[in-house]
Amino acid sequence: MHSGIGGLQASLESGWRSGLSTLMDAGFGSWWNTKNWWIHSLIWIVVINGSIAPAVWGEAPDDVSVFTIYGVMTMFAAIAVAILMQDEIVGEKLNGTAAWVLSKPVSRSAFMLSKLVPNAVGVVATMIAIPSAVFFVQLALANIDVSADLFLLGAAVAALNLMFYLTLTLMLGTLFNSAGSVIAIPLAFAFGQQLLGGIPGLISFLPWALVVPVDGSDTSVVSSVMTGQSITTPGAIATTATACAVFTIVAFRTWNRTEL
Amino acid sequence: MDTSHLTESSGNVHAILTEGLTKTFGESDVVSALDLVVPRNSVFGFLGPNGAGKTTTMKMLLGLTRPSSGSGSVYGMDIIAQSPAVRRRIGYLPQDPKFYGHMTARETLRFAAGFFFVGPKDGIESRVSEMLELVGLSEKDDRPVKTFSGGEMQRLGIAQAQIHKPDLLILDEPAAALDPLGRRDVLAILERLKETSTVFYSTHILDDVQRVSDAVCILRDGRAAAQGSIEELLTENGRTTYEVVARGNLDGARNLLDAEPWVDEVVIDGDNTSGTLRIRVLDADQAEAHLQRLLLADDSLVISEFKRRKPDLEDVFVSVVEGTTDA
Repeated sequence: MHSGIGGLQASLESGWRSGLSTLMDAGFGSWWNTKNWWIHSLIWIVVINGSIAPAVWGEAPDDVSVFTIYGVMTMFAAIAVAILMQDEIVGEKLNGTAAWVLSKPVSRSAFMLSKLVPNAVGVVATMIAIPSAVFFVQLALANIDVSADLFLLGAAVAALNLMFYLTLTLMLGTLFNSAGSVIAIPLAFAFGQQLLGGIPGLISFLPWALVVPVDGSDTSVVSSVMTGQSITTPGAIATTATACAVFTIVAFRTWNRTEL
Repeated sequence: MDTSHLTESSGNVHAILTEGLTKTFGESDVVSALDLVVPRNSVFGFLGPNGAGKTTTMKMLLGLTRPSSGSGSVYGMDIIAQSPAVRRRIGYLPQDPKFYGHMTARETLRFAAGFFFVGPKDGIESRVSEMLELVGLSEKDDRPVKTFSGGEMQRLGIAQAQIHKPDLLILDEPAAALDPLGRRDVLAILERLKETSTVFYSTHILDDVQRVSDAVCILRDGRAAAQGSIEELLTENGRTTYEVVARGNLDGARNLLDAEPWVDEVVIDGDNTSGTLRIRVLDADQAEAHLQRLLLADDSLVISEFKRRKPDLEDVFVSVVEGTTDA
């Protein structure tokens, strides 16, 4: 690069951080500088709180707690995450924007981080944090006692379920070259987990158990945590967190070797 | 091909230097043992038929694709080990440029500038405006890129490639989507850039290459089949052709010429009694000295036109690509 274009200061980012700040700005900007954040927030406030409202205000069946309904509704958000993320890597691979960006002094890790971090923050904030805050207010207005700490912990478990689908979809985007495969696998897994219930004990280790009651239990991990009950399927937390880590590692490693 | 005469000086002298650069997909070599030497501050045309390996070579230089074997350097920096540093000095225009559709032209250039500069903001804006002006997109700077035509995308592509005033511009078919006026503008930009940068570009428009390039490389099946300055290529590979419009025994004239060692090929365009003899010669000096005399000595011929056509790059390209010449 020629020195000194109109007194411009050169970027000093190097190694894996090359291009990171510009890509992060763009990634966060696509959520927070556009209509995206409030549209998603509004949708999930309505979907989650609208479904919970009858239970909160006395119309739900006695044996289903509001916290169980909350967990189940966040499963729909998880599916939406897979749909939303399907094009993030594969779309850019196919249309050439990834090659364009990586022709700049940008590290592959920075590129992948800019897909992972802003989207993770975006989906967790708009699909879990903001709707859950409204849910918390709703509970307070209905005089339903809940510990703020446990409520936060329960929301974090729901967020973990979202992260499972986010990292899975990102990883698949690096492995496949068609959007069809990238969306079909997470959706098939999301709905297919119920079928795996036939294998004794297995489903209690799957992400499904985080948000949906399994093995004849009345509560999911989310609802158990929020209500301070003992968790009947703690294995689901460990396997989901491990899977998120594995998917992320595979995504970074595959992306570093991908030819564009 | 022996490139020792081009590489004997320090590697830093050259903008691009590759040695045995090879890319294999499956069992076929897309780029095969490519030795490429691109001098600094030159406009270098990278030619070859579709699928010859031009884009793959460019992608290897940019670190987008990993070479199967061989090595390459840009301004003395290794294209694999020092890829980010290499890319800091390169501006790249892809063959079919694609940018983020939701961004405007100004945002796209600001985004591209962000990879090279951290500020000040005013300076970056001024550089962005300068580039928009250069490619004639100032009036459309706030339009989302997804509404741009192919030609406008190409112009924006040229602007983003130059945003950091790179030492080396790699342009893959820069004039492909442009109308004649746009093409003329691009050529003018290339000529202007020569003062400060090296331009390495691929194209199929050979007239443009001959007009603006200092040197070229012609790829055939992933190999450099010919490489050098335009003058060298025309001298070494170009075959002078004579066109003679005549009546009479054209077959006899052809047989007479075919016997001469300095004649490469004689083709009759017409019938045996009237038409054009196209005579491609191996030695232009010998032809100049003997051809007219030979033809005039043949009483059966009535010659109405005699002209010499100098070889152009297209002749060289066709002969190299068809394999009749190997430089």
